[in-house]
Amino acid sequence: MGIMNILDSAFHSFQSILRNKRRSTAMIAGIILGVSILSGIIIYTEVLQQENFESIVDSAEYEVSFKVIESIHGESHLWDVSSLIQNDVRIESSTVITGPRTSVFDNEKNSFVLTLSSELEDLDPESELSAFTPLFVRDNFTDTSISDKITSSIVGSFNLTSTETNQTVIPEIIATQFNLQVGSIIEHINITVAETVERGPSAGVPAKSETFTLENVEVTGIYSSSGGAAGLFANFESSKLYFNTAILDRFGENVMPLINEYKYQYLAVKINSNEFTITDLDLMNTEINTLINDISQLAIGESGDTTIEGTNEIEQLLGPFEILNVLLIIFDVILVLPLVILCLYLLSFGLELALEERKREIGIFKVQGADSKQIFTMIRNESLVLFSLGATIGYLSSIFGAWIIGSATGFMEFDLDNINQFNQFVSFNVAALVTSVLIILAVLTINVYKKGREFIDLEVTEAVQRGSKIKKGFFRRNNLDIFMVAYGLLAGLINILIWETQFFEAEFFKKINFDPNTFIWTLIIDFLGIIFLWLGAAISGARIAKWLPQKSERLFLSLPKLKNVALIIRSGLKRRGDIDNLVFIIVLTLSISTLAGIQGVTDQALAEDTLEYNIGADYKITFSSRSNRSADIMQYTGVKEVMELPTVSASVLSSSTTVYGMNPDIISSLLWHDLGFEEVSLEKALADFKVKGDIPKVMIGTLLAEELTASIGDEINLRVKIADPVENVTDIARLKVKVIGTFNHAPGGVDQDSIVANYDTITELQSLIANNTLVYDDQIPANTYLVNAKNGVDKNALERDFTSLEGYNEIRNVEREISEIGQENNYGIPGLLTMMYLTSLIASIISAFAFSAIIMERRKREFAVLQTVGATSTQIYTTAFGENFLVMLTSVIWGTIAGLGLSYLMNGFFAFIGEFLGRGELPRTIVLEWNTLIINGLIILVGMLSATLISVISSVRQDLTEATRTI
Amino acid sequence: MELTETQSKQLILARNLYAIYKGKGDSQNVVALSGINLDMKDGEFISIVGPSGSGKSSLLRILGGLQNPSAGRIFYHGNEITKLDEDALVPFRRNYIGYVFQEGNLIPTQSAFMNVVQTLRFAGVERNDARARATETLDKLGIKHRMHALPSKLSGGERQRVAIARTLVMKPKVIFADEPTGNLDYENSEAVMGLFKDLHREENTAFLVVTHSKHTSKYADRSIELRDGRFVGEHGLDMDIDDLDLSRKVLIQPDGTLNLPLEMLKLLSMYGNLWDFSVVKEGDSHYIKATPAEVSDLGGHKHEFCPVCKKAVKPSDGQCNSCGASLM
Repeated sequence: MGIMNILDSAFHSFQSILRNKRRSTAMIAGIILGVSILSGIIIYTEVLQQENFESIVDSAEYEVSFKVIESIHGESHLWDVSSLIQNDVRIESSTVITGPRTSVFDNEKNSFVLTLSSELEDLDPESELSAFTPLFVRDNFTDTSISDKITSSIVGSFNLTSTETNQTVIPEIIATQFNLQVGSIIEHINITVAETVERGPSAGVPAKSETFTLENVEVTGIYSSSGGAAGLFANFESSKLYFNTAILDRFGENVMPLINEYKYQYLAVKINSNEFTITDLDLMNTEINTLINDISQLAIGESGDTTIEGTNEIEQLLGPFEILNVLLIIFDVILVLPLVILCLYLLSFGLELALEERKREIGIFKVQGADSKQIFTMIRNESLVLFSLGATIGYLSSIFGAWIIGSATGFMEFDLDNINQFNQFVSFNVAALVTSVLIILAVLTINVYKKGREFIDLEVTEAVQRGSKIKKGFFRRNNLDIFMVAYGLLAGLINILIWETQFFEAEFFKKINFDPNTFIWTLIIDFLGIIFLWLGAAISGARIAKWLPQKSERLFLSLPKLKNVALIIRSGLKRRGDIDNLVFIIVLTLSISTLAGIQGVTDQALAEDTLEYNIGADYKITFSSRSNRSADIMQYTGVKEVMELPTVSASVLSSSTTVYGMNPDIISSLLWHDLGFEEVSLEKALADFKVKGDIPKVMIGTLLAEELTASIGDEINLRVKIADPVENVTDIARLKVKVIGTFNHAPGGVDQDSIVANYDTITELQSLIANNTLVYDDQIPANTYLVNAKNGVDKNALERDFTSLEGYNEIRNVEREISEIGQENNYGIPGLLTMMYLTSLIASIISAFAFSAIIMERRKREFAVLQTVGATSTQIYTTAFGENFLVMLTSVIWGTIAGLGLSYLMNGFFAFIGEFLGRGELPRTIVLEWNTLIINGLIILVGMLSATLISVISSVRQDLTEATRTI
Repeated sequence: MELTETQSKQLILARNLYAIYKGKGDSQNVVALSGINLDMKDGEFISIVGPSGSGKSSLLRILGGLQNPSAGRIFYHGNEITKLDEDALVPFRRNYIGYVFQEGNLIPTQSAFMNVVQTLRFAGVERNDARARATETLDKLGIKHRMHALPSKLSGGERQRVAIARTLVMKPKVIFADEPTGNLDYENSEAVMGLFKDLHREENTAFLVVTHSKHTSKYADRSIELRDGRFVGEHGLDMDIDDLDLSRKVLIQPDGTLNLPLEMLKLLSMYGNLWDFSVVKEGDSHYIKATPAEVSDLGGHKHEFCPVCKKAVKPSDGQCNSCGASLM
């Protein structure tokens, strides 16, 4: 009988839901949206984490390393183990490297550490830079995938096979610092093997050291930072110089024994990622540790125990990414928080509306003898049925939503052809489902209890009476909504002044110590401003949506179309309380979709702008060596102009910098950003740059200018090192230059701590460095060239031509890269903004539709009465549309204004996140696409008017007797 | 208030009931009921008559437990219900009263059958039993053939029958009906009142019916006249609803107060507000003889009456000296 009662109850719940579709729709919409958003975020971040981990593992050089436990087992023992594990499917490749795994090497003796360091004595006599760590590999190193990871971005090649001559592969940082390129010969490299006291008063003091010098070392390759870290972790780039291990053999008497004694070799193992559960960090680490032990078991010695000890290297690398993932989740949650609040409100309001609709029914139940528990059970059961349905649809939608976020290549741009990507998201994600269900269910339960109790406790007479009391909330009763809106708009205005002008740079604000960018003011202005503006605008929406049409009634009521129904519309505007909640939701949702739309477009524009300014021309071509390429490039008919970008390393006071040479005749046709040119405008600076003066003219980056406290007109000394190969002496030369401008971004990716000079200055500096022995022709050799193409040229075809040039290394093509910008790792930001935009728009439309329909339904009797007193159907339509259109139009405009304010208020937050994730380096200027905003508003209006139309049609066609009768 | 044994046996005992509705904005409060006293026995059929706005529906709702009075007390067989909360009123609603609204007030999304079944299910009746009893009751009321229709598909009379069925199925001790035939034609009205009468006779169900209808009121054992929130008289079977003056018996309240109709008050006020009362016996009949006292001086002014307490007042006072009501 219990089951029968449950089935009976479920059946009646379903029946009630089906018979009250409108009120059920309102509630279920909130449930679906809430579950889909919460689940979607969780599903997406898990997939993103998986992708990030896969990317890291994929690009890591190796994940596992082994060292010998006892020094009797040397390098050859490790090579033996390497041979043993070649056929293990879990292993991709392995090799032996001599050198530290990390910057500190601990030995068993606990009192000494062994360090290897190398100094480029000739080039860096004062050892201004830290000693570089040398790594030694054997000939077969390039056969392994480990070397592929290191050499994934290399100029030259990883060629250390010669044991006769000294060769080295160096990192880009060293090459830039010392102006080295492939083929350069470094005359002396000192390698020191030192035994250093680790602890005690003499800690750090070398106890024993051996230094040997490599002479005439040829640079065979220059590599970019290895490892799979994102720009955020660029600091982890290691400055390692690679040599052939055979070099150490030459010094075997002193060096190799020490290295063997300290077990300074390790076996590096690259795993086969297909054999490991990359998605689950803990499980993956367990699997790797199992592999480590399995390999250890293969190397059993005479003692019966393993002779090697393994380390899980990837665990440390993935740790920061777990943190990054958590930060991303937090960011995602903050971003979608307004949306979640919105959905919860929709759910709560839908429930309230449903209960309001049932107020009379509840009263009748009480007359029939129902107690509050029975009534509550009915409401609860129906809510649970709706919840089950809504949660199911919501979860299925969330998969789709997560895919949208993941596949977005830009704001409202998707790569939908990749079906495999969709499959990634199709899974039963327990965490996503449980989290979203629990949260939404909790909100639903609280609301059902709270609001249900309110209605159930009503006196029968009060419940049975028709019509609802119009209750103004606390904020409106006390006019706090006006205060909140004013606060929010003021905060928005302050942000507009911050982002678009230099208003707050004025002396007055400096005198009173007001800096709106400090934490406390950010909290007061931005944080509070966002909350106040969003909620205040929504609460005051009803006030404005009725006030404005009333104030302008002369204008619209004088329209001939509205003449006959003017009185009804006027009284409707004054008395109608049922539209307050509808206006609230419209403003709430539309402001979010406006925010998302504006920030989405802004984000896209920023990414594209950053790309454009980083390149600065149509192409940026780099070559493997410094030489004169301009003539080669100009041979192509599509080329309009070429500018080489030679560089010189220099110092100013205590700051190191790179001086870039630019052609004054071409400089103006490159892409400059005017940020930084506050003291002197960009145009003036570029014009001045062309004019020769007594003192060479330079433009300096704003960061460098700040460090040097330099401003326009100041003269500074550029200091370079002179290398005298004959005398083997190093000396300093200086060149005085004059600052004529400051920049934030110069073409070709020249950053804020660099200097831009003209070719004459570069020539002079290079001549100084070469101790005046250098002779240049017209062209200055350079690695990098900026190229502009002629109009109408097929830029991609020209790019293919460039790749055939001798020494070609890399090309960047602005046009192609802008079109491919979406394929870059964007941490789902465009996708999130797209989801925010679409979800809030959908919520707006559903609200407009559902609640307009409910309101119109309630007015059916009113329309029937009007018809009975002689109104035509046209007049009924005019009344309904006239009233609703005026109110909705005002709501839409007000919601858009609120969204605009929110965009500016949140711009700082988006800029911070973008900078943190390396999304854009330029200032984040809001881009307003008015057509998007207009379309937003039109969609809502159309939704509402459609709902009105459908309901009014049904009203006009209804049987008047039935409509006017009370049941 | 201590009830006597007799009072405890009354089906309904109401004392000093007031219903005051708060005025909105600047408008005054409305006193819908003013000091109503009612004694009703088991099985009585009483109709409440009076002009529109006299407080009949308010009285019915208060007596039926659908609305709390502003003041006063109500007892059902000696048990007070005035201070009970909604949940505490539930057994009373299930076991004692049935309520028939003028509008029917059926649940619009449930069929006629389910409207009746639902009442039984609320009372804890088992599903099959509830369905059987509902079918039987609807059959008895002659609408079994329409029991699966939604209320919107039923005629006015059919809906009223369903509402009655919903009430009858619980076998209440008293049925409150507010203009039960107000929306019905003559034939249906006859049918509904006939049903009421049958119940009254067969089940000894008490009825308290508010009506404007001459036809309906003739079914009552007695009719109580309500005017301006006060009982001003009682009528017997000879009542003519169109001319209540003819059949009115002045009602002496249990607390000894006497409410006179306004017309009578106006007539008597000419003679002042102090009267000598005596009970005179003439043959087998007793009469009340009222003689104006020699002194009933109100300063020679034209007498007016307070709208609340009905005592004579001087308009120039602006305020009633007895109850403080505004005279403006």
